[in-house]
Amino acid sequence: MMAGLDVYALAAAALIGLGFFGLIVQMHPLKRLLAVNVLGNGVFLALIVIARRLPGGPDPVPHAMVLTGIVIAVSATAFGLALVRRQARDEEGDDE
Amino acid sequence: MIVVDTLAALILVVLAWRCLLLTDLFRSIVLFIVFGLLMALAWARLDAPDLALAEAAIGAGLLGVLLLGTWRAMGSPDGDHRQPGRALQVIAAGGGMVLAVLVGIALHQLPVSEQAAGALALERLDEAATQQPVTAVLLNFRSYDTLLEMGVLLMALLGTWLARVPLMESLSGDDASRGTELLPVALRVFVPVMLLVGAYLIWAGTHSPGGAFQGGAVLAAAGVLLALAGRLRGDTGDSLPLRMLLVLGLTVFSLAGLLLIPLQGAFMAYPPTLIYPVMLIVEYSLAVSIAITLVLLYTGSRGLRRGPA
Repeated sequence: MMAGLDVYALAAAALIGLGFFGLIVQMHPLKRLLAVNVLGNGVFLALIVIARRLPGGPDPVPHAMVLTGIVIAVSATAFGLALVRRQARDEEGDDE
Repeated sequence: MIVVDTLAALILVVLAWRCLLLTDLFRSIVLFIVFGLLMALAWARLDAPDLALAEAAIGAGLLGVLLLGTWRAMGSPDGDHRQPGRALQVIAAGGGMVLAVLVGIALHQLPVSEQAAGALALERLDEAATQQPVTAVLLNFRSYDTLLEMGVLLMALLGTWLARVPLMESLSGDDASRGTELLPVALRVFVPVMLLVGAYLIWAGTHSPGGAFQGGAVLAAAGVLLALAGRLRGDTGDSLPLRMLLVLGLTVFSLAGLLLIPLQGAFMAYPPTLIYPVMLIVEYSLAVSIAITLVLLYTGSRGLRRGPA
């Protein structure tokens, strides 16, 4: 594994960089949530790439961590989306 | 198979790039859903079938519905054309690139450790009474993580309740129930199958890929499908039974840990003869709580009631 390039490790690095860039540059709240999710997926991918290197089978601990991470990410995103909807409604109220 | 991996990794990055830099919000969301599906494929290629199942149900399915629902509730905005300052863009691009290069180098130079926690977990798998390492870690070796995660799920739901803009209320009522003639047939065919698959996945977690998270997510998807078709409506009223189901996973998991203290002398240590039944009970109660929490995160409401059939 050390000898060659691991394509998934490269993808993880690129996703983390892209997510960071998007999070700062994007102004729309929905886009920012998408950027956070891309960043998160990059981190998950990095963890699983590391897990695969354990001799004797994939390391189950990072797998369990990412599994809980996916569920936490979706619930945190749902909470974020509720905040986005609230903000949109409040701004609408201000216009009237 | 290196070609498949290279292609998958490349498409993942391109999709993320397009998704984050398009100004059209709707297309960004659709690209993000495709990104989620491709992530599921990548998990499968990376020997992580558990993650592939969870990602396909949650990352691509539920998250997509949530994003599109919010997009529509906001009045289908086409995106924000405000641009941040040039300096900020340059700093962000530079920072992102440096971060990516550093992570890439770190991932390639990381030494392989023989003493990883996972090696210990794999070695002592027999003590967890399951041959499925991920389930053993989730429900046995590191059960604190899972227990606290259920708490985080509930916190997210409480936050959503506090923000109080139910998704289903902002969509007009007729809209949700007005479907094509295909819809009732699709519901009759898909919902029972989804419930069956969900229940099977939870049980399968004890010996093969699957478990409370994957099964719960499939059950939640069935619930969201019913909500989309208007058969299940968000309700403003509180209902005690529903709240009890929401905390069922947390309660059963904690009780199992507490009640068995006299036998083993430690919190969340299970006697070998009881591990299997305890694990099964915990898995099913966790899955029920996860499924209902996810459906309520979708509707954003406090309760659920039956819609017109």
